[in-house]
Amino acid sequence: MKKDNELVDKIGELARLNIEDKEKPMFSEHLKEILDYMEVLNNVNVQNVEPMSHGCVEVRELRPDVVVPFDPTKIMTVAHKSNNNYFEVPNIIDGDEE
Amino acid sequence: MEILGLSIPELARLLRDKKISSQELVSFYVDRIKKHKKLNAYITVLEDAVEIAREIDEKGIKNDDYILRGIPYSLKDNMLVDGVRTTCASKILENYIASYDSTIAKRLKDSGAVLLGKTNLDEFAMGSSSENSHFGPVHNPWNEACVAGGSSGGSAVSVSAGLAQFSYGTDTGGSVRLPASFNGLACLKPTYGRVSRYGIVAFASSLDQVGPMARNVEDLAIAYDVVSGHDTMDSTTSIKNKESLYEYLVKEIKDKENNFTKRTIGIPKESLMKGASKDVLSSLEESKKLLSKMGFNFVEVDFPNLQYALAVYYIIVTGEASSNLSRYDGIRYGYRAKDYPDLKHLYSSSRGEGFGDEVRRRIMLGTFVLSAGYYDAYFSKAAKVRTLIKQDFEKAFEKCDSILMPVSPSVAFKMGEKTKDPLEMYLSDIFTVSVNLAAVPSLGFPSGTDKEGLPIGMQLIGKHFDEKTLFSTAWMIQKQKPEWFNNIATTAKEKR
Repeated sequence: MKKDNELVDKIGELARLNIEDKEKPMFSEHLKEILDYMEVLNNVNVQNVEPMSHGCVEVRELRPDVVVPFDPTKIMTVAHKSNNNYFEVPNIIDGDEE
Repeated sequence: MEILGLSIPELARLLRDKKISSQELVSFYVDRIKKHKKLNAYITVLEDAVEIAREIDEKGIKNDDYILRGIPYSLKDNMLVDGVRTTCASKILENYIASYDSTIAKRLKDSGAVLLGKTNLDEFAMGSSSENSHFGPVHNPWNEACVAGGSSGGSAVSVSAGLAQFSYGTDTGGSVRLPASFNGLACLKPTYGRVSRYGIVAFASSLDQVGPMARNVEDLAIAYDVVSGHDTMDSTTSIKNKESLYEYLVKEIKDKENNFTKRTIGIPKESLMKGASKDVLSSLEESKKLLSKMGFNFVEVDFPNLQYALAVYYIIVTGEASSNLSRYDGIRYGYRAKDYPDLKHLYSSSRGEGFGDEVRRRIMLGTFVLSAGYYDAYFSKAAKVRTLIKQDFEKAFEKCDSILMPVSPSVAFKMGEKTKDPLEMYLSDIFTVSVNLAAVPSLGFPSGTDKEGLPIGMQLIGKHFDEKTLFSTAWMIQKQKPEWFNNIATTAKEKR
């Protein structure tokens, strides 16, 4: 189990996702069960098969690359804090906020 | 006047003849939403809906106005509407107010349809039961102890309990079809690229597609017509010309029915259907008999790679989700943790506290399958098997025009029955995910109920961009079996 918790720790770190110690056994068990299930794919031969990486079945058309007017004030209403239409974020250099 | 059970064309007629006003219609639905609050179908009810309807009445509804003018509907709460809260049923977006309209919201606004509110869902559309919501689970109005199906459970319940005339969900691996089937509704998962994803909160971008739900096939066609078609804001939308399927149904198909029933429907080999309950299998048999009586031919089709679909799906969907959801980091908007010693902990605590268990589980799985050392064995392999699944469909469609199969192996299950075991929950999607992987369309239709009175649903799967065949077949089924359609859920009925 310790080894499995290590997997949760490692992925949690990569995904920047906090998992509490008391939650780790549950997540470990579920991840193991689901990854075991996925091993069914070991039975498939995919030699010379191209991957399907998107859902589009026809050639796509891009829109003209032109600048359209955009008012940032509206979008800033969801910011935790803003200043002159810039997001104001916590100080990260020395850990001192404000 | 009895409003419940009328179709959109019937309501449109009444509005134009001034036998009812849009304000009366919207008020009727708003009152029902309040009365059935316990079902938990809505996260946000729009307070100005009645006012908007009043303005529409004032301006008048004329014969040549769009058919949806003045008719109330609901949207899943992962679709942006300017100025309206969009939560994705997550703590992380609990107070997020959208600053622009999704393309589908804009098209619906332009049509004059009236938005009643935003419906409940599994957090970020991740789930098959609508139990994973920060705002509590959605209840099935056919039996409140059962799940609504997910992830668009609130949308389905809003229609089946008569809390909206029609609704929209998103279908990434069955999230429109499963709840529609558990609620006795008609629904569509369009071909990938038929409906714009602009302004829809991204879950798994190569699979996500918006789909309508309704109580009958005409309403479904109207709801699909208004939102589908090319959008310059989403380069994955198809530039193919689209025609009105509603017009096609009411005007053209009448003369062509005889040609139509000469078509061939594929039925998956029996061994592929194992796992389906007895009731579901006998319902499949009943639908097959009905279609056969109508003149359709049947052919058995094989999907050798269907057994891998669920594994492929859950690798691709979690990989894409882990990438899409990396934007929620507590920096610019959304939930931010109170305590964090440094930047890294600001990210991880905000995400750890803001996301629920299923979302965190999928982010972890996705991060794992994309990580160095595992990418080839999982994600890359899954993308290749996805090609084989798509080829299975192409081969099947050489022999038939559409494929008939159940939406789900069972009817709506009891609440809490599968929440402890995620893999068991994932197995609910066994008949739906391959459609999304292959990017083909699928129309779900109600096919009666089991002994307990819970709805059973079938799906007709079509070739890329051939929604027309699916609609016309469903239209003919509805004519033969009107009792399967236009139902209001029993518990909601009793209380009306």
